[in-house]
Parts: sequence; C-alpha cells; structure tokens
Amino acid sequence: MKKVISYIALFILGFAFLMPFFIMILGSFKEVEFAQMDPLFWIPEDPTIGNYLYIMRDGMFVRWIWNSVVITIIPVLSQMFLCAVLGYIFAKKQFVGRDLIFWIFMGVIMIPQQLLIIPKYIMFSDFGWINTYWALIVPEVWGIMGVFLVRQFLQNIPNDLEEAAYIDGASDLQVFFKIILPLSIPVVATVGTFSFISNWNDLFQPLIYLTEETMFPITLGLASMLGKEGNFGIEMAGSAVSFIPTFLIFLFFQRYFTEGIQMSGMK
Amino acid sequence: MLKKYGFFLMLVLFAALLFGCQETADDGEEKKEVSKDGDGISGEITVWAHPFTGDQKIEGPMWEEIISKYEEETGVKVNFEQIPWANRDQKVLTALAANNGPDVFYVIPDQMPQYADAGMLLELTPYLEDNDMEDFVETALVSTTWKDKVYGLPILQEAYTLMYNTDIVKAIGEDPSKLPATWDEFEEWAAKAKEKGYYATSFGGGGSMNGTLYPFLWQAGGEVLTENGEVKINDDAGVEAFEFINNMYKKEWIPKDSITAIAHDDLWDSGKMMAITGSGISVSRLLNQDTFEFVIAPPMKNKEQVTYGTTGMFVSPINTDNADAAAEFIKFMTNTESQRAFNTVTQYIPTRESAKDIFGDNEYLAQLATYTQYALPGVIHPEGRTIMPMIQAELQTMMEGKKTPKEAADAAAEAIKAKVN
Amino acid sequence: MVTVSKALTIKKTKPPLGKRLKKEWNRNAIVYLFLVPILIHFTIFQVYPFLLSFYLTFMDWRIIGEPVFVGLKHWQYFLHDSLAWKAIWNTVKFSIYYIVPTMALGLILALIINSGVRGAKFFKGIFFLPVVTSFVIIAGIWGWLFKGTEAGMINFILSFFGIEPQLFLSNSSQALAVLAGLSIFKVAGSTMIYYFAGLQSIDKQLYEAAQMDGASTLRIFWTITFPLLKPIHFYVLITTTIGSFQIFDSAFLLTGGGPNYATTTLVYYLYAQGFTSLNLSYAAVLSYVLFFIILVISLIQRKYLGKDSNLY
Repeated sequence: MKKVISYIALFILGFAFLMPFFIMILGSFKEVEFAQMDPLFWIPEDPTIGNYLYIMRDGMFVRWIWNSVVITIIPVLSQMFLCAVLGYIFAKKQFVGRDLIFWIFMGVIMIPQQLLIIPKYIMFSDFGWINTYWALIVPEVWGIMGVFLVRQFLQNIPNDLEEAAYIDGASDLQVFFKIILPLSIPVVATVGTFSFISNWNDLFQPLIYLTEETMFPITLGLASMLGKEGNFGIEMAGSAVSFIPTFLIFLFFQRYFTEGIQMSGMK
Repeated sequence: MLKKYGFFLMLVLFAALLFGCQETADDGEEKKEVSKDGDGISGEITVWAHPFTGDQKIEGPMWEEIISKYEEETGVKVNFEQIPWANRDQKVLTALAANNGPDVFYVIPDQMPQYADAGMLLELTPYLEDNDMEDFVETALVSTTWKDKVYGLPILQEAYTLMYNTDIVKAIGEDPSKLPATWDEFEEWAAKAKEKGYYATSFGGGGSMNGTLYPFLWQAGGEVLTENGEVKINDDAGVEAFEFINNMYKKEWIPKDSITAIAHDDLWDSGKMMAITGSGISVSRLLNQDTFEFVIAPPMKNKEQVTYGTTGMFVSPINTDNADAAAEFIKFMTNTESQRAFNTVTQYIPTRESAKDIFGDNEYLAQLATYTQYALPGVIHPEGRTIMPMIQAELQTMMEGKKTPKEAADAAAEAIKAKVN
Repeated sequence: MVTVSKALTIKKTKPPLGKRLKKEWNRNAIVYLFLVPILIHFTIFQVYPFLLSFYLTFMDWRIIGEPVFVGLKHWQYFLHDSLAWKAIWNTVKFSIYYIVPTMALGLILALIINSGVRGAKFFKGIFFLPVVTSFVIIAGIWGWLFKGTEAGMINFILSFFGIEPQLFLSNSSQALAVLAGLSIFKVAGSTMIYYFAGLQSIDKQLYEAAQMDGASTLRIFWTITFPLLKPIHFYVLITTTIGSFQIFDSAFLLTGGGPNYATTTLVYYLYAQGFTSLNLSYAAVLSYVLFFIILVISLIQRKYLGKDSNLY
C-alpha cells in the first residue's frame, strides 16, 4: 500500500514538473504571431516546423550557437577547476583572514547585478572589451558559489587522508590532485552543471556588452528576433532550441554524480 | 609569516590603485569624425532601432532602403544596429553613461521627458527650420516636446479605442453601426450586456494607466499633471473618472481580476466580452484569427473626445559626436517617404498626414488612422513613469473596495504631489 | 591539522630560512599559486565596481555629465522613504514564504531519487526540467494556473471543495505567496541536485550499520542523514536566502509590483528607481541597504548553522 501511494505521488509530481516543458514543445510548433497567456491555446491545430525553420534560416543561427559555446565552455571548464582548488583552500587550509576573505567574496553576490552593470560597463569600455568575448569570459573564470559548494562538500571528508599523505612527504599540490580531486567528482560535476546553465542562459550581460549581431550568443540572438509584441511561436521554438544543450549537459554531468566517493577503507 | 597580513595589504593596495585611477564618465572616445564645414555633414553615425515586427524578411529590406537613401543623399555612413526590446532602457542608459552610446535611438513618450529633463537629449529645434512640421499630426508632437523645446521627431502613432464584437452587439439588440459615443450610451450597452451574461469590456488594471484610467480621465475633461507640476487628478473630472471605473467594477461589467490583469484577450476571443480596448495590433490579430466580426468605435466623448495613443520617436543624445548628421537622420527617418515605407511594414499609423495613404484596402487601419488626432500619448512629465504605480495602487485599492473613488483620487493626488515637489 | 606556527614551535632550533620557506611552499603552494591571482581578479572585477557604486551613493548623477557630490542626501531620503521600507518588508515576507519550502522540497525530491525506487533516476531529469526551462514560460504557466477568475485552473480545482474563486495575483494579500510558489517550483530542481550530491558523500556503511541495529528508515534519516547533510543545509540556506532577497523577475513580469505595491520587492523598487526614474544614486543606496541586510542575515545563519568540527 505504501508503495502504491509513493508511486502515485511520484507520478503526480512528475506530471506537474513535466507540464511546462511539454507545453513549450507543443507551443513551438504553433504558427502564430500573437501571444496568449493561455496554455490550452498553445496546443497547435496545425503543427508546423515553420518556427524552427525561421530561427535557423540564415547563417546567423550557427554563428550564435558558436558564440554561446565559446562564452560558456571556457568559463565552465575554468570554474570547475578553480572552484575545486579554491573550495579546497577554504575548506582545508588555515591562514589568517581566511574566513574574512571568504565572506568578502560572498558579499559581492549580495549586491544586485542590475546596479553593478554600469560601473562594469564603464570599466570594460576603457579596456576595449565592449563587443568582444572578453567581457563575458574573463569575469566568469571563477565564481564564489562554486567555491562555496565545494567547500561545504569537502567538510565531510576527514582530514586524516591528507595527514597521511603529508606524513609520506607529499606536497599539497599532490594531495590536491591525487586525493581531493578524485573524491570531489560529484560536486565538481554539480558546479559544472550550474555553471553551464547560468552562462548559457545569460541574456542580460551579452545584451549590455555586445552590439554586433555576429557576436550574439543564442539567447540574445533569439531575443533580437522578437518584434514589439513578441512572437509566440518563435519564442517557444527558441526556448526549446536553447533548452536542448543545457539539458544534455545536465544528463552528461549526472553520470558522474553516482561515481560517488567510497569512504569505506579509509578508516 | 608571509600570510599574516599579506593578503590584506594586497587587497587594499589594489583597491586603492584602481579606485584612484577611476575615470569619470566624461571620457571621450574619438572614433567618429565631426565635420563642420559649411558644405554639409559627413562622418559616421550609429543608429539603434528595434525589431518592430517579428519578421526580418520584410523588415530588413525596409531599413536597408531607408538607410541607403540617407547615405546616398548625405554621404554619412550609418552603423545600424538592431537591439532587442527586452531591457532596452538598461542597454541605452549603460552605454550612454560610459559615453559609448548611439547617435540616434528610439524612445517612447514615457522616456522622453525624463531624458530631456535630465539634460540627456540633443535639442532638435535649431535643425527644424527647414522641416515641414505642419504636416505632422498635432498630437504626435505632444510627446516630442518638453518645455517648448523639441527633442525628437515621431515616426509612428497608435490610437486605442473600443472594438465591439458584432454578434454580441446584435444579441443585446443594438445596432453595430451606431456604437456608443458617450459614457451614458456606453453604460446603457454595458448594462444590457451584463444582463445577457457578457462582460462589457476589458480592463488591464495591472498594466499601464494609459490603457485604463487616463483615457477616461481625459474624456471627462481632466488632467493628471501639468507640465509645471500642478496636480489635477483629483479635481471633479478626475473623481468622475475614478467613479466611472469603480462603477464598472462593482457592476461586474469588467472581470473581477481586472485589478491586476494585464489583458482579457481570452475572454474576448471566446466571445464572452462585448468590447475590448485595442489598437492596430489588435486589428491584425483579430483579422488573423477570423473568429467573429467586429467593428471599431470612434473614441468616446464625455466632455472631450480623446483617447490614448502612444507615439514612437527618434532622439539623439547630447553626448553624440556627430550632432548634425544625427539630427539630419532623424529628420530623414520621419519624412513622408520613409514613414510610408516604415508604417507599411510595421502596421503602425504614420505621424504625417501626407503619409497616411498607405492603408489601401485595410479599412480598419484606415479608420484608426483618422483617430490619431484624438490620441494623447500619456502624461508628459519626467515623473510620468514614476507616478503611474502610485495611481495604479490607489485605483487597485478602490477596486478592492477599501477606498471610495474620491478617497482614492485624493490619495493619488497626495502621492503625486509628494513625488513631484 | 598542523598549522605553520605550530610547526615552528615544535622544533627546538630554528632551521635556516631557506628550509622553512621550502617547507612552507611544500605545504601551501596551492594557496600561493591560486589564491593570490584570484584575489587580484576579484579586486578588479568585483571590488572595483562595488566601491565605485558605493561612491555613487554620495553623488548626484544623471547618466550624462559630471557627478556632483551631495553627501548623505540620498541616504537620508532612504530613511524617510516609506515605500522603500515597504519593499524591504515585502522582501522579508517573500523570503519567509520561499526559503524553507524550497529547501524542504529539494530535500524530499533528492531523497526520492536516491531511494532506489524503480525509475527514480528518470525522475531526476524531470524534476530538473523547470530549472532549465525559460523563466518566461514558467511564469506564463503559473500566471495562467492562478488566474483570478472562475476560469483559472486552481480556482476550478478549489470549486470542488466549495471554495470561492480567489483573486490570487489581484489580491494584495495573496499575490506575494503566489509568486513565491512560482520561484519554489522553478528552483526546487536545483536544490534537489545539491542535496543529491550531498547524499552521495554519506558513507553507506553508516546506513548498513544502523539497519543491522534495527533502526527504522525514519530514525535513520533524522539521526544520520539529516545531520550529516549539515554542510549542504548551510549552502542551500545561504544561497536560497541570497536568491530570495534578490527576487525581481516574477514581479516584473506578472504583477508590475502590484496590487498596491504588494509585490514590490527591494530589487524591483531599486530597478524602478534606477532605470525608470533615472535615480541611479538612490538605486545604489538601495542596493547597499539590500547588501547589508543579506550580509547580516547570512552571518546570523552562519553563527547558528555554519559551525562544524574542525572548521566552520
């Protein structure tokens, strides 16, 4: 009986969570220009792939995807590595001011980004980074959220491991690469997942920093196709297209989650 | 040892270095030439516009045509960039703040007085001596002028008015060719519609006041705020408008969720609503859907015949490097020929009388085009955008039943006064 | 964990400087190699804009032209601005509606997919879908579900229980809660993933031992799983708190800050001030107020939840 209930609950939840996605896919096949905030309306009578064709109609689409790839992959890889390193530093290393520095780092994400964009833009303008990849990549090579996550994760790993290694004469770099990093695979995969999602879906920063269509990532490219009143079918198709890579990356990283750490044998 | 204060020192050092080196927003970048030889204009300008339709296939060529004509005539190179509608305020303001903005960009009436008052816009008046200004619809120029100075030229207008579902009109026993022209007539029809189980009209209480309170306020002969900051929203005309809306809500002529609803398209589309406030876009949408017949009524008259209709215009920032060319582009963009090309594609209403001949068979749009003379673009005042949520809040409180119309109007007036003074 | 200073006192005689430096490097190279450049990066890309904005709060600046020093004028305005205080209160209310349910839902979902129920892994992807689906779409659906007329889906369901149609987003007491629900739905999948990663780090042997001792699943959960997730609790709590205090998009898209300012959160208000009213300096003031509030709350949370055995 208990099992039946839990299965039912599972299916209801599953359905609830699946619905928006489903509607988005359905809506993307609807050839219509005017939006209606009524999901029943979103079920197409004459399904058409016209919206998808429109989005991909000229070379720009491929260009946009490429831009997205560039401004996402580099920060993702960089973040995965640097957040692991820094997470380790803040979790396991002792030095004066460690906690203070950590919380100063944290402090910065407490300020709404909407405001900081102006000084950042002025600064990048002076660097000559406007309308280049630099403004979108360099600031993103690491992020405090990833560092925070790794740090919390590493707290559950006892220090004995490292101690043993040091006694054997290992340097801390060796300890990090040979011991800590393999153990951190699940959390680094998590950092990678969220880093990818956040960078791939970023509309705001590219909007402010980029001016030429050839530089737009896919999010901005799709937004630039919408008319004053919006174009429903295109928005849905665009969302669907943009959704695919993020979901694939999610699935990809998820495999590494379950290669979890085996703590046994460490006693 | 090294660790002790090393980090702090470095932090402070770098902060001081960079902080000390900060440059003010007035940094100039000489990428554009400015020519002031009496021979004319030259150099380059950057124009930012938005995708007005969703269809680049037809819109793209339209822009190319207009721009290449301008380039030919003047010899000025145009750097045309289409920026998305989303977050355009931020994009424009950020770029201007860094002195890296466009030379020409598009604004709506809410933005113009603010930017003008802050000294952000280039005054166009000196450039307009040789421009045919009489040809412009008077109401179109309302939003381009601030304190007697012209800061922009209008390219498009809209006119909002009531559109009626012919079937429902007939169902309540009225004649679709004799639509209500006054408040009294409308109220009669609304009562009949309610009796037959229809809503009378839509009401987007969660949206802009331009579509809800203001048209009624102006029709009653009232005003929200004068250019000089005098608050008039709670004079007799104002209270009358508040009462009118309250009445509609109490009698359930408008749906219960009107307090925060943005639109009631679904009720209209499914034939449950007698009328809807709409403009050119609605016409296109309805013709596209082709579910039932509809007719357009002229704007109603109480003491005044007036309605809302936005104006879109092009302006130039004061820190542009090529003011002459920018001003020339704005004039060119809004001349008769360009307006014809632009509005044919975008389906808005031209602001020049001479360009209004584009509608051909589309009777609906041609009809709407005759109403722009009654269309005011909103409250033209730098605080125009800020006071809207205040008024909206009072209107919503009134509809929730927590204040009387007079109380709501007075409260709105108080809030506006505090803001404006 | 042996700290540097301890190592020095243990030795009776001081070894030569060269050797000490070498040992230091061996032990802590990683800190020097990475933390230092990161600090530089941080100073340039975060500290500088942060300080510049702070500087702006003492100036009058209307985008174009030179900023003019006005001292505490904007800060004083803030103290008397009742709308700002209302915005703060709205933000606090929102957080109360949002934080705990998000954490709880995330944990529950993580437990479900970790439970080894058949097909559970498949559900991981499903629960994560809203996280990667565009916000505009989710907001649109939510708005439709909670439509304030009889036609709204939720109202339709409520009618079976004899409950009158509710106004939801048109009701100043309900609107904020509805927006909170939207955010919970959108974010639960992420929280689930964090908890899931955390669950992976718990030693399976502990479970086995407890089961052998005959403990029930519920008991195992409360005495083993829940406490061991503490570092993750802390992470989720802090990040959810920060996220909730910065809530903006849903109010922007669905209610315009209304009805009657009921959904005007602090970030919404500062956006309106900065970009709609062009009061950038005041928007900067509000940003710092927000920052200060979040910082204080985070530090309080840290005091009660952040402590752990060897480091906090």
